[in-house]
Amino acid sequence: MKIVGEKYARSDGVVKVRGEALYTTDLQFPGMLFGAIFRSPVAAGRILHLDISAAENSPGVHKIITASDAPRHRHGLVVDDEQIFTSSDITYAGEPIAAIAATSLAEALAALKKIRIEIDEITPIVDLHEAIDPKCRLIHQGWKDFGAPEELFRSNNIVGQMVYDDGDVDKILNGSDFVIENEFVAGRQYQAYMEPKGVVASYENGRFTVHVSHQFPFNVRDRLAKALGIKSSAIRVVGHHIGGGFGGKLDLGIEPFACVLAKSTGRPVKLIQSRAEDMATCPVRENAIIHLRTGVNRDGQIIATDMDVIMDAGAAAGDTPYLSSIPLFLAGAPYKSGRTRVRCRVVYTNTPSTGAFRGVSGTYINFAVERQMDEIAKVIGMDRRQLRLKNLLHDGDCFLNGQVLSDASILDEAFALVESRAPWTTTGKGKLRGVGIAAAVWLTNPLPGSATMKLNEDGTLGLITAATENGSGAVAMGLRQIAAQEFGLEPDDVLISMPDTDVAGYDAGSQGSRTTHVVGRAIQEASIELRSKIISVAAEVLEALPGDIEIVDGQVGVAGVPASRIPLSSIAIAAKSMAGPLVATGSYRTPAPEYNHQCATGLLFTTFPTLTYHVHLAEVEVDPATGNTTVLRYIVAQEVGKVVNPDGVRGQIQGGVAQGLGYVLYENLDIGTDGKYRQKTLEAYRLPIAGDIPEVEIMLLEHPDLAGPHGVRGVAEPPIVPVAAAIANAISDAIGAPLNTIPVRPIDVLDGIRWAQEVHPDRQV
Amino acid sequence: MKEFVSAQSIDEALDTLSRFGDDCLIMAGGTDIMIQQRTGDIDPRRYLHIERIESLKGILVDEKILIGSTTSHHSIVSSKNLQRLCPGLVSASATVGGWQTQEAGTLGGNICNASPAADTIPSLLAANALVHLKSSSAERTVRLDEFIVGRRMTSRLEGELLVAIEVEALPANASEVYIKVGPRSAMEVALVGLAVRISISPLGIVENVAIATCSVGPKPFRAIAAETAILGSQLEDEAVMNAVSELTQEASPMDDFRASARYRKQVLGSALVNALNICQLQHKLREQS
Repeated sequence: MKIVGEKYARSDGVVKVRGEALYTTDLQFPGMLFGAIFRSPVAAGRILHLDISAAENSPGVHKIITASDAPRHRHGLVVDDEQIFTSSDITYAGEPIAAIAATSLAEALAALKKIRIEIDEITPIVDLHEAIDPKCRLIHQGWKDFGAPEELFRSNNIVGQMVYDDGDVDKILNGSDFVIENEFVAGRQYQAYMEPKGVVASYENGRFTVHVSHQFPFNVRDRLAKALGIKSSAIRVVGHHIGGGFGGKLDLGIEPFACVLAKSTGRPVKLIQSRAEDMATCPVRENAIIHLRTGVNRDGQIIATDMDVIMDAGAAAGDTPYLSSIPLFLAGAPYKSGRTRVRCRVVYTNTPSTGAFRGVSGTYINFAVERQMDEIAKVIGMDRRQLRLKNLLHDGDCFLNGQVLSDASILDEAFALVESRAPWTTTGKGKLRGVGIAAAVWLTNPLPGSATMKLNEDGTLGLITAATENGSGAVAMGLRQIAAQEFGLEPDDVLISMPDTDVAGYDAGSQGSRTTHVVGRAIQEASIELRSKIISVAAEVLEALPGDIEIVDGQVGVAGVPASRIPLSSIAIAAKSMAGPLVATGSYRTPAPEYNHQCATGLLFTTFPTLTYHVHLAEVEVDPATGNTTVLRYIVAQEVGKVVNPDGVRGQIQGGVAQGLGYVLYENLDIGTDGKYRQKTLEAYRLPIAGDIPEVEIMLLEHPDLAGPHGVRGVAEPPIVPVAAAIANAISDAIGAPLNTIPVRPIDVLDGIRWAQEVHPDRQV
Repeated sequence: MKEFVSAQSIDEALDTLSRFGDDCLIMAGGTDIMIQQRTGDIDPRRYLHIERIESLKGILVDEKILIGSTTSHHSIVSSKNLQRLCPGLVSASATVGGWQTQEAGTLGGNICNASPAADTIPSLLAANALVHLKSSSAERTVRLDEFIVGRRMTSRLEGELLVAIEVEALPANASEVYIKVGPRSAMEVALVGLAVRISISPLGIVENVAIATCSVGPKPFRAIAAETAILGSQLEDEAVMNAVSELTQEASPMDDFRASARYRKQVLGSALVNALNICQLQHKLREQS
C-alpha cells in the first residue's frame, strides 16, 4: 500500500473547519482567573513612581504583581537581557511593568486602567545608524553584566557581530572592470497568525502546568525554567491546536506572567493577548540595512563581494544574534561571490524586540543579492538570467563557511524547469509589464526530535511526540503518513498525541521545515524497533521463524503464505501475555555538515544542512495611475526531496508565496519617532487577501535526500525567501527604475516611473 | 450596562430620540460603531437600533429617486433601477469593505458616520443628493454637502433621524464613474475616492459635470473649481490638466500610516484623468449605438 506521496486529508482538518478544535483561548478550568499585563506606554525612560493601589481595590481583582513579586534576574534565549518586569529603566513601548489577575477579563482590563505611573521619559533611539554609533546612549546600561555565549561579540548597543573576510577584498574590487554598489533597506513584518498569543497556567504541588498554542513547547519549558529560576522538571508544558505561528511563537512569550500570577493566587490563570497587544509586542521579522558592493568582470564573472548588514534586534536580543550568521550563507549562494567580506551587526534600539519569522533574515538578504544581480546586469549590459547562470553554484562548490554543496547543480535544473514554463525572452513583455527571477538555497533545520510508537490492542498505531502541528500539515499529514507507511496502515489508524513535555521526548518545535524530515526519520528509527518486537511476538504466535515473518497492509503472516496472515491487533493482544506491550522509541538529529571552524568570527549558526533549491519567476503589471502592482503570474520550481502529500506541499508553497507578496507589496510596520509602530491593528496593517494572490504555478523537483525519510527535505519555510526579490525585480523591470526597499510602496513605484522618464525620456511608459 | 432599544417603527424611533437625544447612538448596520465601541473610541449609554423599521428600507423610483436610510449597500448594488439610474452609487457601494460589510452596512449609516473615507458620499454628492430628516416635531430636507460638515460631523440636530436619501437620476446623455484607490483588490479603505458625473453634448462639449472626492480632506467634497475648469470644454488636455490642478489644490489629504499626502495628491490627479477618460469612452460608445 502506497501512503507516502498520496493525497490524504489532514487529521485536524474537520475539527478546525467545524470550529471544534480547542485552542488555548478555549480552555476553561475551575476557579480560573483572567490576566492582563500593564505595559509601558512609552519607549524609553525611567519609572519614577508606580501606584497600583486603586487597581488593587478594583472589583474582581485577586492580585497585582510587579517586579517585587517576580524573579528579578535577567534571562534570554542567547543573551540574558530580558526581565519579567522592569521596575526602573524602560527600553521599549510595551515593556511589562505589572500584571493583574481578576475574576473576569473585563475586570482585569478595568483594573489595568487604574494603575498610575509616572515616567521620566527620554527620546527613544530608533535609528539603526544612530544606535550603532559608539557615542550613542546605551539602550541597556548594564549590558556588560548580561550573560551571553563567549563567542558572541558585544559592544555598547551591538549585541552580536559576525565577520567573514577572505582578505584583499578592496583590492580585488578596485581592480575589477565594474564595481556595483547599492544599499537595500527592509522593513519589519508581523507574523499575523490567526490566533494571538495566549497561555493558561496553574501551580500545584510545586509544579507549573502551562497550556499553550506554541510552536516549541520544550523551549517554553526551558526558557520558563530560566526566567523563573527553577528546574525545568518543575514545569509541564501542554500543547494545543495552534492558530499559526510563522516563527512568532518559538521563543518565550507571556508565559512567565501567567505562571507568577497562578502561583501567587493559587488559581489557574488565563492570559490571552488582544490583537493590538500581540502586534505591538510580537517578535516580528527584523528591519535591516544591507550595503552591497560587487566587483564584476566584463564577461559577467563576479570576482569580489563586500556585504555589510545591520539588523535591528529591538530592545532585547531574542534569537537575532543567531540570525547574524545568515548573511554569510546567502552572500555566497546561489551565486559565487568571488573574494568576499561579510559583516553583520545586530543592534539594540528602543523598539519592540524582533525575532524569528519564516525565512529568517533570508528574505531581505536574498532580496539584496538578487536585486544586485539585476543592477549588475544593467551596468555591464548582460542579460539578467544569463548573468545568473554564469555565476550559479554547482555540485561540489562551497558556501563561504567551506561547507560543500554536493547537489547544487539542481539549481540548473530548476532554472531550466522555469524556462520551460515561462520562456525568459518572451515573458513580461508589454507596457508597464515586467519579469523578475530570483533563486535561493535554503536549509532544513537539523535540531533533534523523537517519536515513541506503540501498537495499540485494536491494531492502531499510537504515536507520541512533542512535534507540533503549526498548520503546515507536517504532523497532520507528513508524520501520520510516514508512520502509516511503515506498517501498511491507513493514516486514520495512526493516532498522534498532542505535545506534552511530561509525556514525549524532546522536540525542537516546528521551525525551519524540520518536522517531516527530522521527526519522520525518528519515526522510522522507532519503527525498526517496533517491527522487530512485533515480529518476535508473531513468530511465537504463528510458530514460525522470525526471519519468515512479514508485515503487510496492517497484517502479520508467514512470508509466501497469505492464509497465515492475522491482524496486528491479535499480536498486540498476545504481546500483553508474552513480552509485554509493544512500544518503541526513536530519536534523530541531522548530523552537522563539515565546515571550516575558523572561517568567521561570531558565527553562531554554523552550517546549512539538508539543502533545498529554489527558482522563482514573477510577471507583473504596474498601474501608472496608482503605483499598484498586479502579479500576473508566479512560478516556483522547488526541490523538495520527496513529496509526502501533494496537497500539503502545494499549500505550503502557495502560502509562502502569499506571505512573501504581503511582505514586498502590502505589509507596512513603520516605526514612529516615538518607538512605536504606526500600524496598531490589522485594519491598518494590510495583509494581502485572496484576490491579490495569483494561483502559484508550482513545479517540484524530487532528488531524494539520503538521510531523510523517503528522501524528504524541508518544504514549508523557504517558499517565502525569494519572493520579495522576484517581485521587486519584476517591478523594476516594468518601470525601468531600481526598487531597493521592502516593502515596495505604490509611491516608490510612481517615483520610480518619474525617475525613469527623466533618465530615459525616450522610453515609453 | 448599556441599553439597547430596537425600534419597530419610525414613530417609536423618534419618540426614543426625543426622550434621550444625543444620549442615544443610532445603529444602522453597525459596521463602524461596533469597532469604535470595541476600541473604546465611543462609549454610548444607549443604542437605538433602527434596522427593523421596514419603512426605512427600500428604493423608490418615481419622479425622484428615494433610498431609505437603512437600505443596505448590497441592496443598492443589486437594484436594477439604481444600476440604470445611479450607476456611480452602485459601483461605489460595491467597493464598501467586503461582502459582509455590504450586507450589514447601510447607506444612511455610511452618511451619518461621516467618515472622510466614506465610499458612497462622492457619488451621492455628484448626484446632488438631499437628505430627508425627521424629528418628532419637524421634517426637513438638507443638501448632502451641507449635511456633512466635517470629519465624522454632520448637521443632524438632536432628536433627528435620517429617513431617506434623495438623488437625481443620471441624465440620458450622461456618464458616471467611481474610482477607488487602495493597494488591495477588495476589503480596502479608500486612499483616494473620486466620483465623476458628466453630460457631454453630441458635439463633445461638457454640458454638465460634477466631481466629488473622499479621503483627500477632512470631509468628502464637491470640487467646484475643477468642475468649472472643464465645463464647456471638449475635455482637451489643457482643460483636463487645469481641472487636475484645481482638484489637487483644493484637496488637503493627510499623511498617515496608510499613505502620504504626497501620494494621495498625485493619485487624485491620475484618478480624475482616468475617470474622465472612462466617461468619454462611455459617451463615445453611446453615440455609436
